[in-house]
Amino acid sequence: MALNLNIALALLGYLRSNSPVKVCQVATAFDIAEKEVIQYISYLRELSVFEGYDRFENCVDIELEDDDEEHLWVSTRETLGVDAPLKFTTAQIVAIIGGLKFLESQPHLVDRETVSGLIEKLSAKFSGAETAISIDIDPINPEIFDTIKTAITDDVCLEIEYGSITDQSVTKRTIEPLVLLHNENTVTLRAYCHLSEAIRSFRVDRILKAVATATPALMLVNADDGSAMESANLSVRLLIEPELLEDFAPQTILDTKIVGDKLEAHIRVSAFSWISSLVLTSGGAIKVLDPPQLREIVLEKAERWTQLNQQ
Amino acid sequence: MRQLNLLLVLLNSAKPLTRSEIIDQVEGYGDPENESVQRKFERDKDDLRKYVNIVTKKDGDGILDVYQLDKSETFMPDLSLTSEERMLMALAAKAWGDAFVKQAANAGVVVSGIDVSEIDAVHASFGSNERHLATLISALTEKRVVQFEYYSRHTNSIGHRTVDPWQLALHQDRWYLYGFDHDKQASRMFKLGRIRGSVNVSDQIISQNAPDQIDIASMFDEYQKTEPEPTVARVRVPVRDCANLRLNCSKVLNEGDFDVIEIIYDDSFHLSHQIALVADRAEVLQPEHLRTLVDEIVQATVRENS
Repeated sequence: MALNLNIALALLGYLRSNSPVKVCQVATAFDIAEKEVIQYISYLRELSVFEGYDRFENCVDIELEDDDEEHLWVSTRETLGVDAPLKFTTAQIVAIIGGLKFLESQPHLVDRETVSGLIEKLSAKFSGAETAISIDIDPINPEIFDTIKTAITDDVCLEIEYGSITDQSVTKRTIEPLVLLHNENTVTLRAYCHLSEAIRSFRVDRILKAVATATPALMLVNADDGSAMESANLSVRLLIEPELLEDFAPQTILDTKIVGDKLEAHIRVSAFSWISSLVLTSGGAIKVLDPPQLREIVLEKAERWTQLNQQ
Repeated sequence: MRQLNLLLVLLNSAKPLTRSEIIDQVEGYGDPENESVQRKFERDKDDLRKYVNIVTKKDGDGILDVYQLDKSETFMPDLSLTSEERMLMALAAKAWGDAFVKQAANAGVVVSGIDVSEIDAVHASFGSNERHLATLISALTEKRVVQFEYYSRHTNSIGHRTVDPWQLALHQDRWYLYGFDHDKQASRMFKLGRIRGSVNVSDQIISQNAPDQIDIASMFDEYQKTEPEPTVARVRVPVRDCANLRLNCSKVLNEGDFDVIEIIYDDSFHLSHQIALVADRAEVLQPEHLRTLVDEIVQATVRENS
């Protein structure tokens, strides 16, 4: 195993400030295997300092002990000269401040003032790191978010107006909110939907209106989670500008190949309504190769636009 | 191993050391007069400098280089973090969706003694599916010039770009690199999604440093603004439909089976594409310019797909 200097240095500071610690904890913290931790420890044990007259003395004293639960423990009695954790590398502090800026844009999740104060504190100690990453995400409507959170806490039903991503239709639904999930700039509400009679996911930024009711949620824990109904079962072939591929979830992209400056992409979709709208708004950046039915839907929608907007 | 021994020698020396003194005191080097040993030392020193600050000065006679570790730049300053702040730092590290950036953030948090397992109750993530992020963050922090093939929508062509990276920005769900374009000799914004192939980080250090103040948000606003003043658009749409337009509207007037929705905008590019998304049931009542823009989008699609 090759020694990674970055990990070895970090480990030295980590063991100094966290001793004693279980090997499994070290492995989790550094995202490496337990046997790699042992290997690094054996490296560190061999570190030495010059004692004069060609004599070198080991300077890191690390002991591995089995405890009653058969865990190995790492303890450092003395690490000469290392009297504090090593300072963040620039890449580390840039990544941490970038993450904090993301949190700063999620006031529903954390206290924004505390995050801002922390960014300021870190920026003062690590100059130059603050400006490396800029995050600009549209915040979620705090009133809607608070209403949902309260409904989850109080176990009551919500009445919502929801804008479908698939066809942009607006439906009124009564839902029993279960849990809020945060992922890739979107917050999703998992809830039992009385209209669909199944558990559904609702993107919070697509909820136009939310009103808490006094009706208690029934907590239908055995309800069909709807995943089968939501799964995509159609596929299309598109000639597409590569950057537009970002509009598709990675798991829906079945295959791609380069064709000149564009990509031929085989994509799984749940309905033609959404994909036909995406083709329509691409301004020619997406060409439908297959199926012909999708191309016809796109052209029919374009024809309808012309009829509606003839002056 | 030798590099770590070198670090410990520098850590434990009260005075700056010459190259010969260091080679003598670090186990594993050998004869300080040997040229290959000296080259080894230079390589080790450069490797260590990525993580710790080794200061080079002249000795008392002003002849030989001497080396000393700047402890204040090597060890963590006293941050005096509250428990809430420690939790936020761990959450910030966990929030990264990109595995490599997350690893860097996590390593920092872990080394500073914060327990990342404390915050399993909160989930948030961003920055995944962006394969160039980790490379660009590394280039940006090391102040190294990057090179890549870039698709320009303006010229509809792919060209080679050499850029001094200054800032990475996440704006409206897309990542951008802001930096100095060597060929254009001016600052430019690059959408990461338009980078073809991989990003190469060169050994060359950037020639143009970032300006003191970069206000990316204002730059995007100005860049995207197409109208000199906020303008009102009126669009007739069926009731309970066209949710994407309703999410940003300021007023809704009902006309039986239809609603007339008013949207205040200054970015006609964005709004025209939003209307095109529901073009089969949206009637743009005003302004005419907006209707023309939507029509251009729809007709371009028709040409490509007929």
